[in-house]
Amino acid sequence: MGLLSLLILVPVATALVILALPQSRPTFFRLFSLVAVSIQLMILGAGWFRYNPNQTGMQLTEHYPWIEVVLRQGERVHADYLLAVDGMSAPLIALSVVVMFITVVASFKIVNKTKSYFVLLMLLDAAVIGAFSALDLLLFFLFFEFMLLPLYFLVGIWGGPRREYAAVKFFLYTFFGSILILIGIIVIHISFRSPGVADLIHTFNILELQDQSNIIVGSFLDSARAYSWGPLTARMWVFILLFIGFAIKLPSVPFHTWLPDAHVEAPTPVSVVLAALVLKVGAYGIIRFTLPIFPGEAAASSTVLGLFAVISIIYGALNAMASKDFKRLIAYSSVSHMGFVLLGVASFNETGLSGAVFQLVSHGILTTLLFLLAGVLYDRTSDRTISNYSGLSIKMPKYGSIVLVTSMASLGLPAFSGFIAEWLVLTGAFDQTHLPDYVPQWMGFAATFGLLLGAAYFIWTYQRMFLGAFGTTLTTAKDELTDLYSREMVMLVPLVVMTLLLGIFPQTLLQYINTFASAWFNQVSPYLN
Amino acid sequence: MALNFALISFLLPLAGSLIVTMLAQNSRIAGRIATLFTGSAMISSILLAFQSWIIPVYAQWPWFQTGGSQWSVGMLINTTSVLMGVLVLLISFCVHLYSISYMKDERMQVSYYARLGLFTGSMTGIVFSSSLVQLFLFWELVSFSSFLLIGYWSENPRVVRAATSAFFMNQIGDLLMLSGIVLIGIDKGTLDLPELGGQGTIAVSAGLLLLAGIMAKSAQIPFLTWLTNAMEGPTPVSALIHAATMVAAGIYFIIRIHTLLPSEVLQIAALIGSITGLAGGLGALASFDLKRILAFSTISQLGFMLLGGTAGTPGAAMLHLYTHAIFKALLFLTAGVIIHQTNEQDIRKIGQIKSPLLTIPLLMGAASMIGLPLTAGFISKETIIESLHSGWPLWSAQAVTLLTTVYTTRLIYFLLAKSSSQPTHSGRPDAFMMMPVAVLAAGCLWIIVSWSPVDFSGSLMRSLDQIHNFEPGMMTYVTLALIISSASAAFFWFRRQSTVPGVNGEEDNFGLDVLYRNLGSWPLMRLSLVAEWTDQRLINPAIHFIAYIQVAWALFTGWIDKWVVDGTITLITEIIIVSGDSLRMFTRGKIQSYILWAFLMLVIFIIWIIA
Repeated sequence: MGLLSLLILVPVATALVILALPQSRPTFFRLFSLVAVSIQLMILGAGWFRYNPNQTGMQLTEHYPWIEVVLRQGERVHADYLLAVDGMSAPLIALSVVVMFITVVASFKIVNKTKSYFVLLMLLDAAVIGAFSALDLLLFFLFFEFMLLPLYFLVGIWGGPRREYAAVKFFLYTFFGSILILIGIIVIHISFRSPGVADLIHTFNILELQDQSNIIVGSFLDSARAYSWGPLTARMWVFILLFIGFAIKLPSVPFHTWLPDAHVEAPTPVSVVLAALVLKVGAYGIIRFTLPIFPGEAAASSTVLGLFAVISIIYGALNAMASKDFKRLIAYSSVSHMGFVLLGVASFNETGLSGAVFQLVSHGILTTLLFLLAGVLYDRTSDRTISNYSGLSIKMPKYGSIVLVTSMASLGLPAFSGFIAEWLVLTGAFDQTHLPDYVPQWMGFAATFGLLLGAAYFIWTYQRMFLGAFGTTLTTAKDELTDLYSREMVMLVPLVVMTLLLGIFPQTLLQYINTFASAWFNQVSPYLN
Repeated sequence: MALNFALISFLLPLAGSLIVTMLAQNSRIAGRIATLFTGSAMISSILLAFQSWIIPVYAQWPWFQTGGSQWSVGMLINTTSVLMGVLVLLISFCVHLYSISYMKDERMQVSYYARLGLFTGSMTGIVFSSSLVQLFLFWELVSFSSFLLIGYWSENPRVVRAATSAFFMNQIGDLLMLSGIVLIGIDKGTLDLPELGGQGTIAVSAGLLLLAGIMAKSAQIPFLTWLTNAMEGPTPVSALIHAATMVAAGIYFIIRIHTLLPSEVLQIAALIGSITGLAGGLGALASFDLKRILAFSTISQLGFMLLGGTAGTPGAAMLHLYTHAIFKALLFLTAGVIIHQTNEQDIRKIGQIKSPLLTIPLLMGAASMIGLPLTAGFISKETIIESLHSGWPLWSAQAVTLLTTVYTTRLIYFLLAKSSSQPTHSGRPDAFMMMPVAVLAAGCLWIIVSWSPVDFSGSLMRSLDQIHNFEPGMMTYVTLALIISSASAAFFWFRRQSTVPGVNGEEDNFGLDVLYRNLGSWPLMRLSLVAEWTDQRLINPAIHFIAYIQVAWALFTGWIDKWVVDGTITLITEIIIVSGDSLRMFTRGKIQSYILWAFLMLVIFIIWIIA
């Protein structure tokens, strides 16, 4: 069994073991989950040794036939169990494993219905890693959909006061997106065939789907046939379906309103998974499938994609600025930061794409930190209203410093990972070499303005909550506001170190991304113009 | 070897900052450890100066690369950067030493010295950076550490506002500069200064974006308010960051990239410099707060340097940067002693200062700032004026010189000469505070620039860019006459005043703060509320509306299901039940009804037969 299967199976097996344990032993659930994520970390280490960052293409491949249906003589439907990683998915999987480890530690605070909580968390773990490693479209969709179920319950049962509303909204919203994606997948599936065989085999294999020469002549997606439905070609329709489906997950304004509710109501560890990993699947879907399968359509609409990105950046930042709840602010800051991912993708060059992938990892680390930090305050006082606090850094100096450093890293201070990502994305967006004015220059400036807004809301929030004379309007909370415990330090400090290391030595991550980015660009570049 | 010295002088302050944070629990030790580190860094930078004063050293290492582009970090050591490096570390060392005494009663000394170390390291980083992206890295870290240091007394709301507004204003400039740097990188394919130097000038738009960053950092119009508000921070910090080093970084940067900038950008910069020079001078003339006067004076002098560096010669501006850093740091540190002893910053209330330990440094600093002969300031100021040749740059430089003379005379007169009703002060400051003051006071003499007090091309500065072209000329004597006449006129005029002349309103920078609040923060807040409203009142209700339509549709289909589909079924069953019930009436087992039905049937049968 390959490393990737192992990575997925360990949490699934753990979930089964926990299910078999008696309800009355919550310590066991925590312990088993911790063991599971620790094993995953070890597998990650092993994978890190085996993976060669300089090699283009997929590695650690596991390929077994899965489903085969004969439609008629010489025509078959075929799906594989195909797992592999490249320079984009390997860093994302590493991020997932690390974040899941921290999530499990953070989940020790969960006290009610621990058994089902950890079962669901482990299933979520498996689904996320599965989605990042599956290279069969059907298998990917399976994992992609399977993330919804545990998340729905995790938000709906262990969430805050408005958890049911948030859970239902999240589920319906993203499920709607999944339906669009499903329609797209079906059209793609019937229009592509496996190369090199006499039989007509409808394929789900993403590597085969990325090759335009595998389109069946005369099918919906055959650009020579220019099959059109209404004002747009069928290809464009399917591209739009896939894009909106993944843009909901990303999320891009205006498809984002599930995010603030779900993130705010979810318990801290689940917010972390949502923001650090689940959003990334949306971006992953866009970069991995949507653009390589429809390169011409995507390039033609890159101005629109850029517009979505810029609106997300600025609109998310403005909403963050207006937020009264600390956690809501963080949620909206995610909208703004994911806009940079989309901008990097929309600029259609290697630099922008590298920046987008770098931002995925960087934002994963930073948002984990931010949500954990919001959780620290909520654990103590059950209140996250910004205006209820002032001068916290006097009473909680360690907490104050980590919040300051994280805020600075998030607003893009150099020497932290966020800066490298923004630098690359801006360089990509301003670069007009390949597609002149498809992403016009003002978008780069607008994104820069978004960075300024980011500085404004982070520094303003820090000023209101952490500077000034110590005080809180909560009558009972004065004594509850203790500085960070060692368990919290154990979670927070490694993440701070990680963002710092990635900011100072970005090449450690970029060497993985670069091979992917240049391969990706070689694939789409013939279709640009 | 030179590289190692440069690396050491850059890394030691940062290491000191880290070590102080980790190890020093005792506040007393923290200051001494940090001073030791910065002192060693200073020595290393002086050794570096001996090594590579004439011969430039350049080294670079790849930092990160993607998509065919590569960004590198490196060290570009030449006369300008060595001079700046020594200057930064010298003043930082002085300020460290001074702080040991000045801050000895503070509660959070460990974090104070950690912040100071972070600042010193980042500033040294700017000085030696060889590529624009690396420079930007330290440029922002300097903004950040300045924010930390201004906000050191974080319990005071005025301090907090000053710190955040300084950070935010710098951020505006920094981000404009960032986009400028990105554009240059795309345009030229490299960001390494030596390589850029061989590629001609950059585009005007990119140059203007860089200029915006320079203006914010050097507190030029319209960014100047952050610097005066930053005076809320501890006085040693003001001396280090907001007089000598950080604000000079903008000037240093423009000197370093001077050859890259197109002439349009240089002209605009000169214009901004001269306006700022005048505005800062007027601000200094109008203010009463000792530190704010000095801050406005710094703004004015920075404008003067920007003018000199862009309309005149970069080397001359660098020379003035160097002498200004020393005399302004001296003035700030002396002001710090006064404030420390009197707990008063208003020159109307401080009273007459008698102690020669304070008057001599004040006079030295003032003389150098005015530009009297035998001072270092004389040489640098006259060099700038000589380099300006003619035209409006020269006249605005003269106007700034005039203003400088008048406000300096005002400051000195009311501090030293005017006997007032307030008690006079003659307390003795301790050695830690006086040592740096003495060193810097000595630094106001001509000798730090040149062996001869009238030789502009003096031995020490010979290798600074293009300086050797200048010598005292006609303009020097004109300026000198202007200085002396205006100083005496001002002196006699002030002597006839019973109160200190000035204008109220320095607390909000004579209305600029309110203006910026109304033009900047207020619209931004409104805009964010509009965005929130859009989210809460438009997008969310739209989503809810879609959900409601679905629910309504579901209810409708439910109704159809219940009343139409089910209803039809129910109707059929009802018909069957009713008919069954009515049929059952015939078979209820009651003999009377049987007889009745039999009789009725019989009757019907008979009627039928008959009919």
